[in-house]
Amino acid sequence: MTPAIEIKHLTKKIRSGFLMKEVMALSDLNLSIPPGTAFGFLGPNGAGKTTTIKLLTGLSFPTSGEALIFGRPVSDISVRMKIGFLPERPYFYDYLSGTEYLHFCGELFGMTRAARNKKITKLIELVGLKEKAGEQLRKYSKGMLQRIGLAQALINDPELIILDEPMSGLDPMGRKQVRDIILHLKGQGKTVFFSTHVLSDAEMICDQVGIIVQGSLQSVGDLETLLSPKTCSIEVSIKGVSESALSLFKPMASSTKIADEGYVLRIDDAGILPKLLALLQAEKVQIVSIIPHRETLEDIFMEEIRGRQS
Amino acid sequence: MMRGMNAGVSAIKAIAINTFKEAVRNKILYNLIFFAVLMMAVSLVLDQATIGQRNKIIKDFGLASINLFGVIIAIVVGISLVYKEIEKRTIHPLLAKPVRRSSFLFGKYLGILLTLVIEILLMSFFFFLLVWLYEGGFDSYLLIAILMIFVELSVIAAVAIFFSSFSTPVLSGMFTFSVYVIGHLTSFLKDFGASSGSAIIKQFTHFLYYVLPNLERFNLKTHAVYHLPIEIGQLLFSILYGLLYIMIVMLFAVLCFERRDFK
Amino acid sequence: MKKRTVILLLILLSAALWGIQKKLDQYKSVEVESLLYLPSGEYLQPLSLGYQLMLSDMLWIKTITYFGSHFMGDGEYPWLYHILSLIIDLDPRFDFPYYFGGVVLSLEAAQAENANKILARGIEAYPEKWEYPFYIGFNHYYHRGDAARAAPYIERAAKLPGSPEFVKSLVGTLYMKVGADETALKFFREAHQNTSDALIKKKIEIKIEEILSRREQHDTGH
Ligand SMILES: Nc1ncnc2c1ncn2[C@@H]1O[C@H](COP(=O)(O)OP(=O)(O)OP(=O)(O)O)[C@@H](O)[C@H]1O
Ligand SMILES: [Mg+2]
Repeated sequence: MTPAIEIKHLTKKIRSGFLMKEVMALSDLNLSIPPGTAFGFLGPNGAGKTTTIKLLTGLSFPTSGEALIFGRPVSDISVRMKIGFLPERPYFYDYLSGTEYLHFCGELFGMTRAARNKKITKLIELVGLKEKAGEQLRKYSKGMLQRIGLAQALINDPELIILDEPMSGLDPMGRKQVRDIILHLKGQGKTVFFSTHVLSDAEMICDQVGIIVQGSLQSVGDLETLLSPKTCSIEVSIKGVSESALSLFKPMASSTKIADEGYVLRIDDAGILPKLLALLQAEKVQIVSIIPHRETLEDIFMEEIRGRQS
Repeated sequence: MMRGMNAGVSAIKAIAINTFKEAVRNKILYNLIFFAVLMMAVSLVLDQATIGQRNKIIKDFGLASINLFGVIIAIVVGISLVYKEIEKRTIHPLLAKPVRRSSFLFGKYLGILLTLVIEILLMSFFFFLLVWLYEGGFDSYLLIAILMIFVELSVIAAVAIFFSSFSTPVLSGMFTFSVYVIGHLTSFLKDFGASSGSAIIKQFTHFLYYVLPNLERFNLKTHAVYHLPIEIGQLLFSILYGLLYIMIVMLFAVLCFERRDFK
Repeated sequence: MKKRTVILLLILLSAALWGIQKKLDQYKSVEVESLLYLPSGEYLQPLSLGYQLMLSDMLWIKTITYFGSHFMGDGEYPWLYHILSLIIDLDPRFDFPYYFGGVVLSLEAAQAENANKILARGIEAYPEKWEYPFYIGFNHYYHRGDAARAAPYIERAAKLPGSPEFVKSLVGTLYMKVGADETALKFFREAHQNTSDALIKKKIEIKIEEILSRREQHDTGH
């Protein structure tokens, strides 16, 4: 099956400033994303996420390498019939109303008035802008702009939806709505490629993630495999234990923290948990809670960056 | 293929209409009020003037104002059109859709033409009304002068878009204004160069003559006011000259714009 | 659009544009003249938005090319007076157009009336220059043989600083022609006194001689 996105040795150098200093914004990126995937593109600020997305959407041109969408080079304009795109911090013609803007976008795809009307009603419902759709975009809040941006990205029923930080600047309610929309798209079998530096968002939606730091891809893969090697650490909170008793358990734990009226023991190997529990019971230590911790993207993320910097 | 063609036309149309909407909603056409006030003031002052001169002066002033207000709109709107889209990043979602960059520029250009047409039509309506009040008739000569003013404005708008496809509004404004001023002087400069005796000056003025638009070709205001004979061949060739010039300038704009990275 | 297509199109269109420029240049004579249908200086002055001097310079260059082309061609100068008066309307202190107008309009374009109008403006602007009244007098005398109208102007010129000696004796000659012998005599005597040029002195002596003998004849005739 042809991948939805295939990126080969994509490199982008940007010259800027008075001295035309060269910045390596993206170096030798390789990626292949199968159709139907929700792909999270993760990276800290200035990592090269937006740069990649601009190369995919034809807003800028690579220094070398190429990008294919559904097997066709991105320079082929017909590819864009199948793409929906929400730019970073989107801004639209502020003298148009939400509905007018969506009509404008529909016309760019050559949609008939009837088709547009039908689609726009649905989209406005989907992004929850029913009351505000008739108002000029200059009166929209940031979150509302983000939503109208999402609606315009979906006007052509795209196979591939590219979203650059779709959740930035949204309140928790808004984040959830955007998340639900992405999940809904995923449910329809669409490919979603979105960038973010907020990890929990990616964790909740993505099938696959790629982590990019300083212009180069660090790791890529299924969320499960990326997370699995150190799946578990377990935190055991205990109460009412004497200093002397503590020294018994301490060697088993990888770390020990003082918490209110007690301690939190952290063990990295789930296998020793029964032993520890038995010991605790024997010492009549009160067990407050046992919480298993899957390693989070945050951890991987920080590790990647640390690895990169050292 | 057919579908692609239709989508392209539909996109250009949408961009043109959107550009026109922007001009209207950002109240660009308000300068029409200044035009109306100016014309009224002139005609009030003229009520004191001698008979006979009056009709001529109304026509002189009317044509000059239509021209001047048109030039202002063509430059002011033209230089900001493309730049604003890039600066405010409204162009990003647009170019990620199946819209060629050349279609984008072309749509923008048609949009400004539409704005200019409406502006000129409204000004002309008011102008002809005044002329009719003073003279009691319709002077079709003036119509030809206004048509040629429109051709001139179309050329200026194309030049403005060309500059704004790669530079800032302030710079493009200065460039476009210079082209407007020098464009009215090229044939004069050519004569001057030819009689100056210096080979370098002669070549330079010749160069300007062929590279810059010869805007004086579109100036039929005196012909219209004095009802001087206008050769139809000259008129048609002048229009053709304008059209070709516009196409060349727009193609240069496309060349500059086609490979550009957006921030 | 493909870059190659665009460049190819550009080359074709540029060639066509050049051809049309050439074609339009053939209509040029009409166009150049039409530039001269400028409004009168009265209106042009405020419309020049403070750039009167530059505008008058440009019109001056225009004048020269206009004159040149017609001098080589038909020898007709229907717009010369108009454009010159525009220049002096815009910039009355610009002195060369007065000389040019005064001499060329009269001698080359045979428009003595217009030449004198320009010169009269010159006198307004530069009352201290002897040349302008001198040319007016000259135009009256040369074109019409009208010594009576010429004399007061030449007289005026003669009184202005810097005027050459021959002007003073010319005043005498003109008054003599009109028959105002007394006035003529007065000028000849004055000129005779002031000049150091032997040749002119000699000529004046002959003229005085002539008047005196004429007066004698007149007296005996009675
Ligand atoms: N127009 C530009 N001029 C100069 N440098 C640029 C430009 N655009 C991007 N860069 C550089 O390229 C690198 C990648 O930037 P990019 O915008 O792709 O980051 P990002 O991953 O989208 O970051 P963020 O999370 O902040 O949006 C950065 O180092 C940035 O400084
Ligand atoms: Mg970014």
